[in-house]
Amino acid sequence: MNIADTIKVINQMQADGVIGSYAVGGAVGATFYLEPVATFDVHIFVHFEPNPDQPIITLKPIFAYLAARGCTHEREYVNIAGTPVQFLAAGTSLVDEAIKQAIPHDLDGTPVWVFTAEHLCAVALKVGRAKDKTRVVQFIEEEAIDQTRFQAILKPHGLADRWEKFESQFLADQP
Amino acid sequence: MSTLIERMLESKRAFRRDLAARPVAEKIRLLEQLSERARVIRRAATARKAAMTPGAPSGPGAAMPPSRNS
Repeated sequence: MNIADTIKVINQMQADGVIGSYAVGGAVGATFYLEPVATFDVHIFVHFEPNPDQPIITLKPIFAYLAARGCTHEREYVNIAGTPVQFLAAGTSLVDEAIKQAIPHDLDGTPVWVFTAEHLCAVALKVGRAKDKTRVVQFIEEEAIDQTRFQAILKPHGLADRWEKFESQFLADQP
Repeated sequence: MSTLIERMLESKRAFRRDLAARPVAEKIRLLEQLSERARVIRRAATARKAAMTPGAPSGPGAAMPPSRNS
């Protein structure tokens, strides 16, 4: 697993016009703001420009591009530079916004677009698996998010109620 | 909560804060190492489970069943 080398391939794929904007999310994205955690794969969220000739979004061009460069495909992952990568097409307004507002970071000289801490936290809240809930708690406890920006994300994406419930369940002082 | 546990939890929190504050490249390298370690453990656990399954292959190439101490 070498994430910097993986990102180099993805940057090249973007430069070659196969994908538009992209951003790293999931555990790898969270590591840009929190302590590192073990993860099996890298989640790359991709924005596809609407194409009237191709109304259904497909990841086939990505897989074909990578296969031509020797990357193997296993289940929902593509192995890029030894790292299993899962490409996810932006399918919700929240993820669309997260990609648009992603921040450029520098990873050992390799530029990489990563969700903001607030969007990572909002996406984790929305997905809501046990590990996502743990991540939300980490973001809050580590004070890694700006609460004003976070609240501004929750409301328009219909997450205000979920946040209220989460807060009372996991962040209240008393059980 | 006892003072000892409180101290231990605070120490853990401090360590996590220290890890979070490290440069991104270093954190990503740590993530890679942790992930590799997790993969090795998962592989071993899978092999162990397979060895415990009735009818699983045995012999020099097969995974060892768990010992009484495991």
